[in-house]
Amino acid sequence: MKHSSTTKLIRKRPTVKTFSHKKIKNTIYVKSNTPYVSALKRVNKFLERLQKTGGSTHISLLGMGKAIEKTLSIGCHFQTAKGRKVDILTTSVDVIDELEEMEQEEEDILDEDKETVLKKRTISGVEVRIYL
Amino acid sequence: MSGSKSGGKKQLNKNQLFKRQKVRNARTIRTEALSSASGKSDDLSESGGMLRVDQFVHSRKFEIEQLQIAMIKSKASSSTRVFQSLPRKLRRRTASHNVRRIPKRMRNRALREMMKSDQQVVAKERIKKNKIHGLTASQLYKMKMSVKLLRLAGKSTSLKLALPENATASNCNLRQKIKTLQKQIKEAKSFSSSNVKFNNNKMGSYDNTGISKLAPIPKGRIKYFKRQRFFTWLPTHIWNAKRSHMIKRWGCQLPWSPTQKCFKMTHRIASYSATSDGALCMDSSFMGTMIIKDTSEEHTILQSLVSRLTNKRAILRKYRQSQTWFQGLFYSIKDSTNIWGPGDLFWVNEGTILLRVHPSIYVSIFNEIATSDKELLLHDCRYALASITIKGAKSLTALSSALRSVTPSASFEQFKLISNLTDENVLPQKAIFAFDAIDPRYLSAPKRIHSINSKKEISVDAILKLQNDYPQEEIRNILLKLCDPECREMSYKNQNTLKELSSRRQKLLISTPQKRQIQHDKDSDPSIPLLIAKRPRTQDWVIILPWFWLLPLWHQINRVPRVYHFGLRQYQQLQYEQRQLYFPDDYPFTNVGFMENSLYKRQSLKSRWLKKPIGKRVNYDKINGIHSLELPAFSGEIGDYFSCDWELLRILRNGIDFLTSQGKELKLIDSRRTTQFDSNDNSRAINTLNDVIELYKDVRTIEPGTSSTEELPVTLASSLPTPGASLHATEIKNESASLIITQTTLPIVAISCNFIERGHPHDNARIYRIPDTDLSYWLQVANGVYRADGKKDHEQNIPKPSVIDLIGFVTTATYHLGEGNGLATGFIDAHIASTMPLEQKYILVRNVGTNIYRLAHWEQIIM
Repeated sequence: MKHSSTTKLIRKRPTVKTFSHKKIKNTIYVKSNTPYVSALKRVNKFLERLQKTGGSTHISLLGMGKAIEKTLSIGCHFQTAKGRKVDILTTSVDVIDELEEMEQEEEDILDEDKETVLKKRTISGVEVRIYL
Repeated sequence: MSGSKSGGKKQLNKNQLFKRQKVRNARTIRTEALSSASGKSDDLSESGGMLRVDQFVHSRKFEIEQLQIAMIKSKASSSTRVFQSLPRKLRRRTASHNVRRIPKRMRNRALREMMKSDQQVVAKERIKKNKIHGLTASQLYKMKMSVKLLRLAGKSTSLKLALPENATASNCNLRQKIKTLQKQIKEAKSFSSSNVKFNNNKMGSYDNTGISKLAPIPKGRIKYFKRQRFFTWLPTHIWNAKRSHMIKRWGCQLPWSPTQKCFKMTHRIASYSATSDGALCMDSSFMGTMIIKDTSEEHTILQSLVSRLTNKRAILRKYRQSQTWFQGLFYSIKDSTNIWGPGDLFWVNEGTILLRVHPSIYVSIFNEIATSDKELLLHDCRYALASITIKGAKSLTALSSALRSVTPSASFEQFKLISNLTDENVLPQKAIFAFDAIDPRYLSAPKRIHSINSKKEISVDAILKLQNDYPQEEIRNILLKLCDPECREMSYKNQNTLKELSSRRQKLLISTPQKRQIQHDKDSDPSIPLLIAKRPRTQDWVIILPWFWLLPLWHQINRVPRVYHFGLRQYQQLQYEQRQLYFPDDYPFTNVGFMENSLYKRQSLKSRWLKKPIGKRVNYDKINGIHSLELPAFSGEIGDYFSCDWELLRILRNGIDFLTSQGKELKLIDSRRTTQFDSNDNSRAINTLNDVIELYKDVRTIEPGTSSTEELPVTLASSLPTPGASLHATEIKNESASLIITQTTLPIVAISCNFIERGHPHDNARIYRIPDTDLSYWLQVANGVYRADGKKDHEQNIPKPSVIDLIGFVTTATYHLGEGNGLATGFIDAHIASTMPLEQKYILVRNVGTNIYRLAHWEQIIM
């Protein structure tokens, strides 16, 4: 399934997310451009809220690719400085790439108007669970 | 007696004493006694002896717990009535005297509280039969007549009769209407006449399509007909009018914004899917839909029409053959430089397209297409097809819990598969579903679909399969049904009334007590052809279905928890947060958008400013230190204070081009001379920048928008021109300077810019480029200038740009909650945008009436 070098990558798509009210309240997706202190504040806020609702025992931070290092360092902060129980799980995440289709009729058209094919790619990710 | 009362404390009665004691008890905080904390009290002496860690920690823990208990107790003691504990969204003003406004689990307590406070309990609404009305004879007669009319109208719809023309005409009086209805009912009962028109259902639903002409205003209910003479109602008008602020514009009455505050909620639910836990929906039926059919073999007329309409975009293979939803700009067919505005286009099959545009431009586009080609079949479906726009993580879940397919359908299976998905960004570009749905009211309440896949996470492979297994034939058949007036009419056949539904439900309860969903009967029950499509640019879902089926679906969707409605204001907010343009406010290069800015919004801002007393409003003429060099032509704020002054921008940019093109150095003022007039044609001579501003003031005396034939001052540059391209002003040599400057249109590009420092922009803010001399300073600011204490320095004396650096205006701007800084959407001069190097795309933004400049980084919005 190798694509030739002329095929252009149009867009990278996010991971597949499914709906669950409980999960939304205890999951944080860490991006590579999330500021470190903002993430700490956010985790603290989530932990406070967990105590109120009491739905689950931990919050989970999800990070993949470039954000793995940041996710782990947040986990370290809560483990060492705050003395919380922290679990670290590694996962592989499937993502979709959008590639330009080879046989295009017109040449000079916007990227938006090009037909694309989707391709699966697997990358590694990390889940950090911070317990109450 | 009286003296002692006034001197001493106020005597409290028994009740007050009890309450005071209660609050006092609740607020006392216990502390741990020293003796109980340790066996030997001298270990923790007050004079500061030894400290034992375990006891110290234990003691602090005890104190924290006590503090928390006291806080909870104190909170509980202050609340008096049960409905006060409800969340803000669920509070009702009438809950204090009508228990039915309170959730069931709280009702018993509420009743007890009402009894205690000697309140009258409202049990059921009583029908007052012998009410003394206090009306005169003629008033009573009038009232009775109108009741009679309503009764007759109700009777005629339940006899499946269509409302006759006379009954809905505005020039008929009440008696004539009653007479017509009576006659019609009589004829229908005796089967004497064939000229009675019948509906195929008892709800009064009918298909209202204008074939090759504009459709008439829908008949609706006779009671409300008079209220829709000038502004038509949406199908959900009454529902929305109870819950939103409405506005009357573009021939419709539209929901503007929900009555409850919702700025943050809109951002949280609809902007980012990862943190959103709900959905927002809007009745978008005001968007006009038209269907264009080409019956010829080759469909060449339709193709050339679409090509001209969308500037060769929507005829590409992606849209035409593979049926992807198209969103983009629509151009005038006759004159490709004239842009109508944005719109949606969808190829139903090779010879049929579905077109959705904003109501402000709908009629003009319709007329233009109708006059351009007589061979095309044009259907005006403004009042025949309704739509819902829904956005947010739960939108698919909410939709799927209200919709069920009639027959086993591949498209519905696909829809079921993705119904748990929160982020539609992972779906293929072509995410379109169409199926025959049952009446949503058959479900007693919306219910999530439990398929085999609902427990598992959706895998990436399943999503890849969606694109490959697209059931094209099936979807086309449903869509053709949706686009055909007769099939739409057929979908209303035997549409159940609420009464019929509840009687069916009663029967069901007796026979099978567990089952709540009414069984769909293939032969007699209606089926609704509907289309669900993901829109690529706005990233929301649109559901298109026949007009009279919208309300049943709308009611069901809004019963799903955490699904809220929104209005145009929120739509604008969402567009802004996605860094996109909102029509018509952000489209100054279209006629409607230009008028919106320079007439409508300008007038309202100006009158609000004029209403304020002089001391309390900003004096725009007396703002000092805006520019580095003050010109004698103006003082204070430049241009119009209440709008984006495109006229000023055009004259200024063209004027500077003109002055520099003559090969001389650009002079701001000629101190030796006052302004001059050309000896040849009595127009103003343009020698310095001051003359350009004077020229602007001459033109400005005409009120904007008074002459409709006038060309717009700005146009959209299709792509960034190459640097150093020939400028417009130099092209025409034989005309006078002032004419060249005032009549050449200025190409602009849409940008979105992020504030790098603090502060946030407002609408109509001015955009400046960074002068070459100050570039190093601003680059330093972009990297951050810090004070000695390590914090950012915001109080520096900044070098100010001059008037010649004005390059654009901001159309929509505020603080962006997602980005965490100010964000502005605006337009700048295309020539200047093209000369900026890629790594230095910085501009300065200044709000109207201030002299503070903020650095911002910009990027182009691709149109």
